[in-house]
Amino acid sequence: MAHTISVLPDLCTGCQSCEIVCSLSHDGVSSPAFSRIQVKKWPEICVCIPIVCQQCQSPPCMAICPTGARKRIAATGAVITDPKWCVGCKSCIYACPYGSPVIHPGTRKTITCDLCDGKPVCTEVCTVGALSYSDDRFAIEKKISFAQKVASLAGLK
Amino acid sequence: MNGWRGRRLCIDLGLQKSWIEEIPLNELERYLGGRGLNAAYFLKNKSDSTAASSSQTTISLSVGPLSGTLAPCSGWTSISFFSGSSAPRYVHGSMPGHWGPQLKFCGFDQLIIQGQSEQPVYIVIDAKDVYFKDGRSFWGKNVQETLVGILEAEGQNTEMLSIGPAGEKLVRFANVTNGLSWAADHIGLGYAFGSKNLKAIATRGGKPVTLDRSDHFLRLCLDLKERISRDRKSVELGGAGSFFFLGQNGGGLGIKNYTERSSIDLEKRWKVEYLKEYAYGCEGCFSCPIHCGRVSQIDGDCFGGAHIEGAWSLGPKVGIFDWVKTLRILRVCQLQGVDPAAVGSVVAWLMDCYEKRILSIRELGLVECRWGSEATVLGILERIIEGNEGGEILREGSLGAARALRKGLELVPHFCGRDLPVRDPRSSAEYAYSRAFFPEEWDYLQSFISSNSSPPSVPLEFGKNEIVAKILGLEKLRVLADLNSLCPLVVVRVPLVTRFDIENLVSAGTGSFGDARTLRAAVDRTMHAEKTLRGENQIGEPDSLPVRFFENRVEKSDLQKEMKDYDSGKGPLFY
Repeated sequence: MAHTISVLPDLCTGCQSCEIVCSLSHDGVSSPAFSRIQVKKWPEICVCIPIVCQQCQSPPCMAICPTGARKRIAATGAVITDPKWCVGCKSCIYACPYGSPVIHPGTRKTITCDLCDGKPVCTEVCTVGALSYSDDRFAIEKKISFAQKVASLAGLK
Repeated sequence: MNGWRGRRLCIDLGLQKSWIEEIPLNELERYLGGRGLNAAYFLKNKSDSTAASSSQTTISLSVGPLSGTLAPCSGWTSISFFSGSSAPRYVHGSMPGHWGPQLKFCGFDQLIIQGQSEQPVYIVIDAKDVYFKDGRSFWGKNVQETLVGILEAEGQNTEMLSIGPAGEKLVRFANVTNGLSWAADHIGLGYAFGSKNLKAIATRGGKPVTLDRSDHFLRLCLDLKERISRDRKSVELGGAGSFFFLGQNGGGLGIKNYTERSSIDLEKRWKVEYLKEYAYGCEGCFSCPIHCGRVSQIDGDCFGGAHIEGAWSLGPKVGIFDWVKTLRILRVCQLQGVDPAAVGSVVAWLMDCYEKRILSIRELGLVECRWGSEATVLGILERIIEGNEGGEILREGSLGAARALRKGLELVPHFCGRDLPVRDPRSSAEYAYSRAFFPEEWDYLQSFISSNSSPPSVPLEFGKNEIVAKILGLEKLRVLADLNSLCPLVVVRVPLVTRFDIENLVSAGTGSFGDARTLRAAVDRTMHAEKTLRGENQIGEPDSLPVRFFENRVEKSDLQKEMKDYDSGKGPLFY
């Protein structure tokens, strides 16, 4: 099974270190807008969720990309955008079930997590363990439990 | 320009106009950022800034060169303005959270707010422009309702500063809150916002902060974060939040308006009960590897922002030892946008006066102010916010109320008009002196300077006093943290980030100005500027602690002499 960044949102404190280290290591600047991981916050229910590419086995972003810019790297299994072919049509953004791809403010092409060549730096700075690099790609029971907790806090059931 | 933006955003609420001013590089070199930029601005614009009415006063919010970067714990914002409600009038506060970095991502190091809006307004600042929006539909809403409403309108990841009904109704100790958890407590910023009809400021920026040597900066930050996260104290602080400090340094937090003092055992029991029964999760400031913020849960309601000062003030300080009651009151304070520590001070004073029969039930508005009553605290809080049935006096704070009623003045524990933090000044000589010299430093950071809990029996001569020198040294470190938007807890109290770390980070981030001499000069310059601003705008004579705080401890006359020497510049402030 390919490795991916496993997210345990109930441990996330919303410090945004993952966003900043991502932009700094990839672009040499500090800005959440340049980051391949995005922390979404709902302060009224004390919930923060890091959104990052889950490296799907059958990625809808790859299937929908009209130019073939979305492709998987064999070495790490990461699904990335080849900027040479990306036309910024945003199809992958709409297709992604996690809402992971974002438009790079500089190039106007989509960017997603490339797993930092197998050493994702965001997992290094996440001291609470909300992010980890493992083959526990689904951690499905934990995710279901968290989803139920959020639904309860938001008064959805 | 690397590290900084070199730009100041100015907003005039009366004219509903905004404009941008360049901040010259030499000003950034001289004052670095944050607190220093605020002081520099007010020194330059004294005549405009010292307007008598709170509605016309100028508010400055600034960040430093490390704000918005990966530098650990760099999410703080420095806030300064001339307050009409305290002496000395120039006030400064530091606010944790996420708002400052967003200002940086909008392209600014400093935000200046002037004038008064004719009707309730909220401001949206993004990377392109400033928008003045009708705030009438949010006026009267509590902090959470305001937050949710404006986030729905402006986008989920907008960082907000907002006031609640307390600020709108001009309670002197109203707060401005970042999100729901982080507040610039103790400076009455909510009152200033309310006076200006300013309900909220929403910021959302996407501009990157550039760095001189980004690879080197990244490596420095990663090494520092790893060092911090492995430190034993950091682990304990992350585990217990600010409650980590309980049960240390010989106890000494004030109970029942400082008529009693806590024991180590009591503090530990109180801490363990909270962490075991009511702590629900953690929250972290921007780029913080420690995550000392605590999310609490009671009655199915989750909320952040519980910290030692607020919780103790609404707990043992008013005779409440039941966490459920304390958290309920804390939640009401948070939603109403009022400083929980100041509420605790007012209530504790009232209860003390009631017990000592200084104030009668009739004078208290037919409220029996017995220690430990949740209903009494909530009732008084409602009166304070609504400004009726005596609340119009109590909303001036415990000192203001005592002066207005001409009763119970000797029972108000304050210094220079500021309520005391929960740590009893009699618990250590260091703390007593730090209160005396730096009354404006309202937080609990300096209350744990030393494990030596024995107050001196003989007052020491100023300038030869090791304690005073130590306090001044820590104070400078505190200012250095503020200049760079770093968490004072991590730089001064624990400490986990050293002066050398800051020098390296500033140097790698800005490409200049990171040397020790420049940083030291900026610290001294800022302290000198603030002293000038405080001195020139002081209202009346500085106050002192009530006599009972000096009994068998430090002699009041000696302490006042030390303060006089300090004020006249004889002290070693600029060594």
